[in-house]
Amino acid sequence: MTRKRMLLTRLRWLQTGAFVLFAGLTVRLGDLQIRQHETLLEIGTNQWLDAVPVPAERGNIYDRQGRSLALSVTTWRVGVSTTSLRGKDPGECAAIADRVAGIFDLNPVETRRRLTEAGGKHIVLASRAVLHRDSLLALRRLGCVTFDVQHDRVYPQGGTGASLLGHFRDTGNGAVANGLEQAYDELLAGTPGEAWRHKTPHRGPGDGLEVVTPARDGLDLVLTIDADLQAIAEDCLEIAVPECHAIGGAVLIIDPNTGEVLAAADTPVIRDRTEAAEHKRFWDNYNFTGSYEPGSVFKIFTAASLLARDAVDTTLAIDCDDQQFDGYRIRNSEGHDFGFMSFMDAFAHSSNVYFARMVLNLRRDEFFRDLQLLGFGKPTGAVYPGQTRGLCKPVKDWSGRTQSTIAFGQEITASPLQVALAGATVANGGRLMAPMMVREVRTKNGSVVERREPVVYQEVMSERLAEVIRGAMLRAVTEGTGGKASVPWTTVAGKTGTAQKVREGATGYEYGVYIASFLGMVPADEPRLLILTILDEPDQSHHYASASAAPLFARVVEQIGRSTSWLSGVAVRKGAWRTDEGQSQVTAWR
Amino acid sequence: MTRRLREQLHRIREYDRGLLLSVGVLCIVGVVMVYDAGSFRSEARTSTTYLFKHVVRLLLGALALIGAARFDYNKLRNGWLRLALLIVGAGLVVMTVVLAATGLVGARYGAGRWFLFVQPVEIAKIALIVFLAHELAGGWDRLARDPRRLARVLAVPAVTVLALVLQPNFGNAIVISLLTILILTLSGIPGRWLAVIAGGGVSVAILCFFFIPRVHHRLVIWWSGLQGDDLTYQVWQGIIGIGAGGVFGQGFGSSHQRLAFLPDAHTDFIFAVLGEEAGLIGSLILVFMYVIFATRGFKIAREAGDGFGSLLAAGLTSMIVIYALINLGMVTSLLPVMGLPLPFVSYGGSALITNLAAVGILLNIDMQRRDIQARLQRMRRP
Repeated sequence: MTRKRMLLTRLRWLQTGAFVLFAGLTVRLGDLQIRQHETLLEIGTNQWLDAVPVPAERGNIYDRQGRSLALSVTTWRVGVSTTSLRGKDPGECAAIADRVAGIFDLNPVETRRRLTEAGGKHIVLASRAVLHRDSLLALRRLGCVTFDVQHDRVYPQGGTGASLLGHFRDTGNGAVANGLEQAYDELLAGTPGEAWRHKTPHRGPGDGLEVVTPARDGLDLVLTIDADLQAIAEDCLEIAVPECHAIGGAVLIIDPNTGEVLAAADTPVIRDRTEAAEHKRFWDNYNFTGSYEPGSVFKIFTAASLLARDAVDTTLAIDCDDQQFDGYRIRNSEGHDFGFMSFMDAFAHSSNVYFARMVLNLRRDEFFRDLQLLGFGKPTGAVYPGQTRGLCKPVKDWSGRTQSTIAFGQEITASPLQVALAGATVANGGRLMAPMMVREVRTKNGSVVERREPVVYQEVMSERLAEVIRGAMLRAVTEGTGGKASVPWTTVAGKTGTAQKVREGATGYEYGVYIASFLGMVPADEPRLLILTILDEPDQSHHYASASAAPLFARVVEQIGRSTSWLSGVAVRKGAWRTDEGQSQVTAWR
Repeated sequence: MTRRLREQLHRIREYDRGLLLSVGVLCIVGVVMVYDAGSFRSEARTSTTYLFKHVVRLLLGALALIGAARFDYNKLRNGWLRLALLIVGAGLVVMTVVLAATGLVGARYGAGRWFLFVQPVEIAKIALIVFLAHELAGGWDRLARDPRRLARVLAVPAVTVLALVLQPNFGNAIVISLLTILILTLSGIPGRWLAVIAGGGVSVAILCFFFIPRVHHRLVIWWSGLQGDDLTYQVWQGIIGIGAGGVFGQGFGSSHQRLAFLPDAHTDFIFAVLGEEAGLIGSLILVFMYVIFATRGFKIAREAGDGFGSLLAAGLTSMIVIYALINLGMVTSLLPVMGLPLPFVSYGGSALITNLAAVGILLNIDMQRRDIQARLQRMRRP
């Protein structure tokens, strides 16, 4: 009986012991599955799944007429998972290799060797491949081929507008972009989505992608650029630069009424994108990033300031021979000895002395405020990487002669865009426009997200004053320095500018080295286009703008008139604006 | 014919339902999980290879269960016992041969445990329990009076353990040592003897630790944590799976660990897959099934009609419970890796069959007791 009782007691102990151990196990399970759950799940997730980005398709870029400037195309990266070849006999492998080699135009012997020697690895056969539907299906049927979507960038217009548009390249570890591609990257890029790739020890065609968040494709941009104008500008520039033996040049065309940038060409003119992609400097568009002393073109703005503040008697002729200003001799260009000149003549023939003297009738701060009002020394508001705001010295830094030198566009620098926008105020009746590069932002399916309207920054002069200055510019073309800018079939208002280049790394100017520019608008009475042409360091026989930048302007206008509709219907009509009319207006200004 | 069938069905109703329920649930979980975890094994020819084999063994096991349940366990004490011993002896001889000529027999995972697709140790275990229960049924005191017989009785488990250690199959060696000590304890061995045996066991374990590199290695890596070793990889992957399951689990069929990360996902580490898919709730249900099994098994042991039945029932129940505890402890990294399957659930043919046969013996012990009680009642009534 005692033995029986002992057995029962010990059995009970045994049972209790087992229960205690099971209880301990329960605690351990609670520890693992509740307390450590988060940590272990994270470790597990890291080894089961790869977070893979789902590339977003980059937005396309179109010109104002809807022509494609930059497009995203879907290409494939095609590979072979050789693990799935393992079970197959050599003949079958060879057949697959031949098939694949046939589709991608590879060496079949080489492909066969690669497939058999890969040893279970995943090999990439082709990158950026554009696949026809049939080839895609044929490859899928092989069962061992892997596909990854890639988005590639193509530029259907080739080099046209390249230095403005920039270049986008996905190098695999980060994208490289410049120009407008960089400036509007935020809109174009879209948001990549996220997917999980279920990992297996070997990469295989069965690797599923589970999209967690789908990619949001980039937005399409419709630019204000006109591909035709851009091409014309580039072609003309490419002819003019060697003709003048210049080291470079630029042509900027804007719509003065809206501030839209229509074309922005500069040198070197890019013809082959892939070649140019190697050189960083090819992609800086001079019209936005360059800064130069505008020279006599600036007399337009000095004149505007003088007239607006009634600081000049336009009928009064003054002595325009070379004079000393604060110990510095100011000469008229080409060493002209003009004698006594009135406002109109001084403008048309570009007398430095006249403006250097007359500007002294203005208080320094008044003149400075007028320059600022025109946007000099301030950012333009255009979106472009590496823009310059130019240099417009504050009054306290002015020396005794600064006011006089600024009057004819030296000791002040600006980007071509700034000069063009300031010039546009004269063309459009006094409104300083915000520069516009993008007309519309659209989704991939074409619905408009944003339509941009022209923005007026400020009214800087009265409509009448603008008209008067246009009259003066018209005369500068018909009778003055800008003669070679005229075209027979319409009126051109414009102003030449020949500025000595600042010596690099030193003070003062370089002797005999110039930047020649011409700011012009057509037609003179109701300008539709404002064109700024610049030639950098033309040779001795072309260094005056009248002989280099002005003819380039004429060439551009001729081309535009001949092959686009921008200037249709502007041919000179009888009774249209004439020079004498401009003259009488100026005379009547007071 | 129909009458016999009805009788049979009637008998099944009389079987211990708790025991049958727990074993039934565990077997069903086993089938499901073997399919779930085994269908992705790269060495299997089709996704149902393991499922099919498992189901075949389950059916064989069910037959063994029914057979054992209908066979009077008391008959094991007579002539059959010699047969059992013979089997033990033969099994041991075979095992040693296996050890000696590893070239003859496929060594799996470093242990020459397999012979003709059956692990001899599975049969040896049951035979040993039967042998010890028989010898000790009269109580320790009676056996202790005859030192030569005592030595002979103790020699059988000692030789078995030694053979298993030489194999090497430490997991089963430990299970058999534990079982022997448990049965001796239940038979009424005095505390000091128990202390001697336990002390001997501990010193053997310490010797093993110092002189058998494999044991040494496993213990050291278990103690030092789970980083940076090939052997720890499996345990670590099991832990990740269980932990990732959380309270509610990832859902049936969505275990990631089974795909390629967890070796032996369908055999020894099947619980990790269950933990990942069914979470804490599923794991606890499984643990609870073993608790029910233990409760019912020990109840049968307590209520058995005689000493032999008690020891046999306690031994067989303990065997299943020890297996379950060691496997679960190993998968949750509470114990070092010992390579033992989870009873009724893991894929692993011979163990499943012998475990079900053990359940059959348990049921038979229970039935015999009921028959005796019923007969006693009938005798008392008139």
